[in-house]
Amino acid sequence: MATIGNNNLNAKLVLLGDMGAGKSSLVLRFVKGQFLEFQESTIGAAFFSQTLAVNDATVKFEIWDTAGQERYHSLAPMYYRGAAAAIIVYDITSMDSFTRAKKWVQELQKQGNPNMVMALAGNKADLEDKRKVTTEEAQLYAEENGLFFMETSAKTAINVNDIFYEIARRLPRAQPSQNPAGMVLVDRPAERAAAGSCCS
Amino acid sequence: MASSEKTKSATEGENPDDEELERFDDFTLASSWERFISEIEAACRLWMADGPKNLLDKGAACLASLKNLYNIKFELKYGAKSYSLEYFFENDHDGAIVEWKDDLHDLQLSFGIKEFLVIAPLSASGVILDAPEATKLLSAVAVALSNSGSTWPAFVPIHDPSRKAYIGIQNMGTLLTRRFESDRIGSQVPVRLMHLEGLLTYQTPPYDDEDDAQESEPEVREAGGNPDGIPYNKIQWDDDCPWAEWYSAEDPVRGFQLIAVWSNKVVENSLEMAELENASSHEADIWILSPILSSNTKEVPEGKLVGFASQLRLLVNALDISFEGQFIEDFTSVEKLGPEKLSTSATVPPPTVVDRVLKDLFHEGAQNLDHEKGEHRNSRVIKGAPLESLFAQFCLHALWFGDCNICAIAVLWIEFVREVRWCWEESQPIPRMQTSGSIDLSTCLIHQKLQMLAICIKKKYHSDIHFDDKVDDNSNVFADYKEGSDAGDGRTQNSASTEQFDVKRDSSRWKTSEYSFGTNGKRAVAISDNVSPSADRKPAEMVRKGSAGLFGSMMLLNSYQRMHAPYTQDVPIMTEDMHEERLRAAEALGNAFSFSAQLEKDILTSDMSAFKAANPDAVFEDFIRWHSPGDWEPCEADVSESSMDHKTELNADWPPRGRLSERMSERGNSWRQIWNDAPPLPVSEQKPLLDPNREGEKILHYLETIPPHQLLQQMVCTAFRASAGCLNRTSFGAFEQLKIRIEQLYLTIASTLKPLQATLLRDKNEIIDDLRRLTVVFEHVEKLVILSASIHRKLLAAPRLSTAILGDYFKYYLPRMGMGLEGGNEQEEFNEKQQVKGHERAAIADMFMTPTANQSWRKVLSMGNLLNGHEPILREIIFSKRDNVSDNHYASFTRSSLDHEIETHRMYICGTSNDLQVALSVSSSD
Repeated sequence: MATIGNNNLNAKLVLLGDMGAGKSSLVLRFVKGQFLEFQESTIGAAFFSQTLAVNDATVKFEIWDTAGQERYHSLAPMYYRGAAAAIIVYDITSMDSFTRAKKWVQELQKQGNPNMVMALAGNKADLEDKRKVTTEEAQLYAEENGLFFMETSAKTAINVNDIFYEIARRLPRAQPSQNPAGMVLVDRPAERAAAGSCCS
Repeated sequence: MASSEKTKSATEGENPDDEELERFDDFTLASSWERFISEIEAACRLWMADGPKNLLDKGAACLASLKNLYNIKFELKYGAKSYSLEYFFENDHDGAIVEWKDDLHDLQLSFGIKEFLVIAPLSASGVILDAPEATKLLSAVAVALSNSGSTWPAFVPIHDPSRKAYIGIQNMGTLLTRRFESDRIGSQVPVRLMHLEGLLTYQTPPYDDEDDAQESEPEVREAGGNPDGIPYNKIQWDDDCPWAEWYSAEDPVRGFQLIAVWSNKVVENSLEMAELENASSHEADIWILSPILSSNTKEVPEGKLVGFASQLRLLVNALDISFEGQFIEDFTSVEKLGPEKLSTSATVPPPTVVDRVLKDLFHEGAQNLDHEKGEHRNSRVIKGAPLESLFAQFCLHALWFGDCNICAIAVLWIEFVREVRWCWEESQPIPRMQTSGSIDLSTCLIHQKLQMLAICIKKKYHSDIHFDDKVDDNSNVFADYKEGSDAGDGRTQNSASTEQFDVKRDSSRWKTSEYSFGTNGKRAVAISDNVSPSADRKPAEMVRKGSAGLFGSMMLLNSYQRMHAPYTQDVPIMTEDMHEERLRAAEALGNAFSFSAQLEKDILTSDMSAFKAANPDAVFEDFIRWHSPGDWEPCEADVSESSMDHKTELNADWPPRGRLSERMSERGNSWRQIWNDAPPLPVSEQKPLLDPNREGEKILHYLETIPPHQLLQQMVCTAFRASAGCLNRTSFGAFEQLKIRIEQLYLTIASTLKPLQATLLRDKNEIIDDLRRLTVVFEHVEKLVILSASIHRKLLAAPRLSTAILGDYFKYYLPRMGMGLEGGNEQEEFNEKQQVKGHERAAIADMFMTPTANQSWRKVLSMGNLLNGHEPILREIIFSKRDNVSDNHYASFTRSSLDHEIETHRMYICGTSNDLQVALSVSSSD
């Protein structure tokens, strides 16, 4: 969950997606500006942090990079639990990875924090000649599910910083004190005159 | 005087300027009587000039009981007395006069008028007893009104207010004047007034036989849904409602009232009237139904109404006090705590009650329930235990255990934990808990702990059984695994159609705690030959351990052998606090770029060991092909395809061509390092990833030492969730508005309870106050649910009506929901009515059960128009006689003269034969 202290936001961010989609590469590009052609497969999960300045506030991302192997799927809830944002990564050269990404979106919609900012990243955008997932298809899916979508390349750094900046911009700045759909509690007697009617 | 006044009014008609008016007033006013008249006149002119819209802006008040009627007041003096002049008007000025409607003012109803003036002394009773004074007042108003050219009728109350007696006058242009008179006959109603035929002749001179008497006769009667004072039966009305398990609510609907209306009958003689009187209510033109609600549906002071809301309030009080103690035991007796800290009672129910509650919790209905079923989709946002789970039931019991004080809760909790420990020590399943699936982190921690404990008990039970079985009989163990391998194959087949990777758990089987892993659907075709491989398994059989079956048709790389999928350990389950601990540890390591959690490494090691044990000749590449297939790149795609086609020829696809992905084949790859270090061990010989004995003890320690406020916080969350879940199960038909309310209730509860989950409470008192207010909101919704359930079940045969009545009630009630506990100054009753449609009449009539013998005394009223033997409780009749006023062009003011026919005589009668209200209005040209 995003927590706030004067203009400083701490936000937990989790990366999910099929194995080999390039989650770790994305994070490393963003955090260290590095790219390894053959990034070692993550065992379990990895933790990074990075601070961004957005407008007049700073956002400190606490990034959890998870393993894509199915075996670790059941551990995923502990990483996305309470996360303010999630990047679901797929590989544009693999339809399987896109299918897998959709499963993650479903799971987050069902189990995750409802205010979570979700981004869909079509990684390996540099491999245009091997593309299996069209931009339009992914864009359409993202719109239908209220995600924002970018095609990224950890190798060429295209859109990598952008996707994190966009998430930072979209993070809710203040915790809503009351759920707008809910009912208003009766105000304290002193404030009752101003309370008026509720729940209309 | 009359002429002078007339000139004045004429002048003013031309110059309606205020300044001129005042000057003129000064000039003409002679006596105090004239000054009085002129004051009235000034007020009336002002009101006339303003019109309803401006008057509303100037603060005309709406009459509480009548939605469309407004009044504005003016106070004035005459002699030593003060009077108040009131102008009543409706907002929609152009609307026609309505003969009968259920929300008309008495005077409107009595005299068939729309707007009117009332003048009355400002004394306490507001009544003039002196007849000359009344006449004098009325004539003063009449003069003022005629001066200002107004046609408003004016009234003066006479006699005692309970008689509702008025006299009045209306100037209807230059020629016609209408006079009004009403009174009430409280007793000794003359016989001829008791029956319709007599009433027709009551009006002596004007009712000549040449005239039509028009009558509209609304009739009011009471229904017998659940009549007053008669106990319904032994069975409570809400016996099968979901809350009945916890308490019984008073039926908010005491009965129904039906109004039957005959409109506009033209009656020529008394015989027809008699016929009309004997007509059954079924023949009426219109039926109008309204519920009679019990007083509980209105604002009730705190603590008077018993329900979930009242008990939740007590629980919040207990939470408030719980911060005073460090241990639950502190609250088990008043002595330990010190009486000054306990403002509320500390009564603990006797041990027999404790036993009964525990028996209900642990022994009755102890089957494992599907928690998710039937619970509102929003319920997950409240961090409590799912409905019907053990902790949720505990919380509901606690609400009704004694008076839900902290001492009673403490005693009940200690006994509860003792019972849970017994289950643990005896390896008995914990009732009402699911032992399959992962732990739902959206529930409260106690529920997570109980769920984990239930799983630990299951695991412990297995390991005990295994230990007994093992008795050094190696072959026996082996056979056991063989058996398991069959089961594994079966599962492979099952999961062939599902995802690529699917872990199936069989919760019904206590037999094995391991489960198969890595079933790859594409290979399911190869299962058909799961007997034949026993031939090639033979050489390896001596060492192969822990195989869950063949892994499709996959062959090992370096030996001509089929790949076996091993049994693997369950991924350890964790409760929320364990997750948090891990994350904190990880974060403490900081920006560790190669950080990998130890747990995942352990899992990987365990998987590798198991794989090695199941495939003694396997190499690292084989493991990757099974575990992380994306990291194995077949050399040529067509080769693998052809291998699928010719799978009968096993030689064709061996050795499988391909290589590890670059990232897996890098030097110093940590996967390979772990592989190299992993010993070949089947899961049965591995150190378990989750030690059920240790984890179980930890959980019990948590339950036994939980600080009181943490327990109470989770109880509050769960009790709110469970109570809301209980109300949500109520059947109230397809009434959308209530569904929306319940949905909102969930969200409101969730957002209010959120601060409770913080580890450090920001401001305890503020949160407690918020929670108390939350119980008020809860009480509103609870009342609405109970009312909706009651109306729904009474009008099952007429769903449209029940929805319409509830819709009206919501409109009436919702604005009051914000009024709080003490806000009770609005005494307005709910009086909305609904017209009954033709096809619904039978259902409504059925509710009026034929009266019993001791009810039939009511027939004394002998008013006719029976419904199933019920007498009307009230009758209203309007007689009117119309006449032509053809050639009166002076009277162009009045609306009725435009039709050239006006109502010359009107009589309104309301009441019973014991108590009759009569009002007359007569128009004449004098």
